[in-house]
Amino acid sequence: MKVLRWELVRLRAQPRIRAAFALSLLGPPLFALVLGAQTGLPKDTLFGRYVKESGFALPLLVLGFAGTWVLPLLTSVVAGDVFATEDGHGTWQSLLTRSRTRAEVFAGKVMAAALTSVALLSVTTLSSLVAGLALAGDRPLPGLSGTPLGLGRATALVVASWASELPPLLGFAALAVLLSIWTRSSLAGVGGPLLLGLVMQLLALLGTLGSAVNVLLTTPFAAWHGLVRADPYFGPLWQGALVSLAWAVGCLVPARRLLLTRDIT
Amino acid sequence: MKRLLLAVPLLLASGCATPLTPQRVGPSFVQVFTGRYAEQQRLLGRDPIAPGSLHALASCGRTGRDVDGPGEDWTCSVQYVDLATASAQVFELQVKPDGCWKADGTPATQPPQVVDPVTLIASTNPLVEFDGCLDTSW
Repeated sequence: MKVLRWELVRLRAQPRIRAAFALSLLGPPLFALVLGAQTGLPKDTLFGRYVKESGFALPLLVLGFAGTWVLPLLTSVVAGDVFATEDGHGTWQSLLTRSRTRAEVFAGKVMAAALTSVALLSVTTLSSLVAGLALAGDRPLPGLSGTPLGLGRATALVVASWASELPPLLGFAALAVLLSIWTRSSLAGVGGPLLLGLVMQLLALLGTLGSAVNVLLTTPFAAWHGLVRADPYFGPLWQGALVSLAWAVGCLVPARRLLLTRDIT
Repeated sequence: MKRLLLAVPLLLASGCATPLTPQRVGPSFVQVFTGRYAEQQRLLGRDPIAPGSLHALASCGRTGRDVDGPGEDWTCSVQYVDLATASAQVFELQVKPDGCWKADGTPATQPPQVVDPVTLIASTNPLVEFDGCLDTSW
């Protein structure tokens, strides 16, 4: 717990973490302002055509974009540096001379990265929902099953949709942790998951993988498509959670082993 | 380790069949079409109608060489019954790799706006273009 508390304090003090929170908080309202000033609508993106009809469309439009590009970036900025920064500053030795084992340091740092990622996701959710309601009010949202969704149901489904991003977000955090420990480089820890995410997106866009696309870590980011409807389907959600868990375990186990067996003298 | 490396491509290949088939796109399209049709009729001032009462059926397919998978050459022909009259319409679809699709109505049958004949209130036509998604999980 001490490592977790200390790591959270350290993360909070970092300028790029503050910048990530600023982006989460201010990005959606700024996007809403730009959309409000335009006459055209982003009709090629899900819910883009409804952003001026219903306030619940904007958070889902932002979600579609964020799930593809922004969330992997935000979580990599947090998790890709928590270990490599000790290498960069040469502080491993002083950290490990305190009465904490390597396993405790690993657990504390991973938990700090995960909690910060969850906080970023929560801030973006709230910010985009408030921005959407300010832009277009609380009129019913045309769901993906064709029928309108009223105020209470639409609010619940928007929050649930954003919450469904949590498993792949934590999967990306685990990937960033592995790269951060393996390479000892913040650049690889932050940029590596982004690059891998981009490759996965391109593979999915090619459309040649068929159902095999479901094993990619980027696919669960779209699981919310099954929720925003009168008759939700949960297959992609459960499958995405299992795939994300597999990625997280597949990254954290070797990452922990690497750290525990590394020569840091 | 070698066995594991061999198993991964085999596993991927076994699950490679695309879920974006006419048999799965059709019902997804019908569901969204009937919902948007009911909304269109409400905007035209009619009493609420249940989407299920339209008894809609759709036949979807690709106009190009491929028969399934993502692409911009999908069309759906939908037949339905309303006010005791059978009708049919054709929509063009863009089906994306993530299982979501966008339908466009032809301008002749689906104008950009609909006007309530009593109140003269103009609204965006819910059937001019609309989106849907289908379950692509295993």
